Amino acid sequence: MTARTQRPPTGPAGAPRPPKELVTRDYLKAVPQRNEAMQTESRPRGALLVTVPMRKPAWMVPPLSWILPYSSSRRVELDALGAEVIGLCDGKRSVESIIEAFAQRHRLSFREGQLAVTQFLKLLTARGIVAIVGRSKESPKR
Amino acid sequence: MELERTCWRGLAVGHPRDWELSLASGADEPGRCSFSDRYQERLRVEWHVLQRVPDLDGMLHKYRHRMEKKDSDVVVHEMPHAPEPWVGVTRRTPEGWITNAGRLFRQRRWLVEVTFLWSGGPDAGTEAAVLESIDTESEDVPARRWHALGLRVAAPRGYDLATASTQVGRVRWEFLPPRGERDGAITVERLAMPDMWLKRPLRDWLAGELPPHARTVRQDAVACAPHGAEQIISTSRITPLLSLLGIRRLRVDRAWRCPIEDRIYHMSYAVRSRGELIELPDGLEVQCCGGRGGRQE
Repeated sequence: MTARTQRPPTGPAGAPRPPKELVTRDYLKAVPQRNEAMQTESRPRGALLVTVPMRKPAWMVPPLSWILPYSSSRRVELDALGAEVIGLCDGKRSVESIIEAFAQRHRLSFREGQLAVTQFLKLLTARGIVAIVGRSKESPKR
Repeated sequence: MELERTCWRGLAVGHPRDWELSLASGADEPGRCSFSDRYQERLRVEWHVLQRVPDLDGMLHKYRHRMEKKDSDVVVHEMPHAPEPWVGVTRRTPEGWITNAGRLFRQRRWLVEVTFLWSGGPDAGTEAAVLESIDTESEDVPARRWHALGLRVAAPRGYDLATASTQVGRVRWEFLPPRGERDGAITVERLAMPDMWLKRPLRDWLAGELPPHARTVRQDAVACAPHGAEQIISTSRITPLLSLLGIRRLRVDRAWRCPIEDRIYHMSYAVRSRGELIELPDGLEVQCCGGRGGRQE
């Protein structure tokens, strides 16, 4: 958070209205699934080396494939915290319960844990290491 | 109901523990704080100084009338559980319930407006407890309290929060003296997960936090209850001309680990000086141990 204000959501006459529970609730209820094709290798100090196989692009045919470098896998080294988050992604836990477990382990508030875990999951998704699978929209209302 | 207390720009707000501060106003902006639970915004508090005393009941009546006229589906109720002298209304909208309440703090001439956002029905007990807890800080206190995001600081009189940043596990506030002078700036940080990143003694880490080219004048352990702290006094050049005049930036850094919270606290204070003696300013106090007694001043 920075010390800046952000205009709150307002209705037509400027009256505040309840913000939609868009991304957050659905995202928290979603379940990260590990890429089953990836391989992991433990490294010193709790780090983890992840190797994700890459599909060969359709356009990578001779003569382009003779010239352009191509690797059949992508390697990503995760630090101890990253390895811990990957370890929590067991295909059953939701993002919310991963955050809770992470926050409890490191004595963080839920929001602190949320910041860390969601940023990291975003990175893992971009690297093809996990996929976030949504759940149905039933959700308890407070 | 046990409430967590947040103090921001002279206003203290009690709120449920799982409603965390998600937005706060910066310097030279009207006061505003927003609190969210893990799913959505729950509470919004806004405050500003008034030139004249308003008729709150009249404003409320007009507001209620306007709401009912604008949208016949909206049901507006008075807020009978609002603790005196708060006044407010609760209305039901297709998206949920909204409670608006207001109160004038006559001594400071602050109008404080509070909005509760409920996706289910409103919780009258929580609303009453939160409203009851809201209070303004007197202008003539020796130090202003800033409590938010786990950091609890009393900044010396005249100091204002200039920048606040939150990164993963790291909250950092910078306070500047009156008129925004850089000389006399105070920074306070609270860092989480020390087991993951603090791989060397705290004194060595603190030495690494000094500005580039700073020269350590003195480094020692300070006996401060309840946790011992490491302290470094350092100097650094400001400009060649000031160096010729013998004026340098003198800075004191203090850090300690709170075992109860498992956090590292770091505060620093820098002034221009010809000497090599510096102490933290009077009135500066940083509380740790979850606000239950641990403090450095």
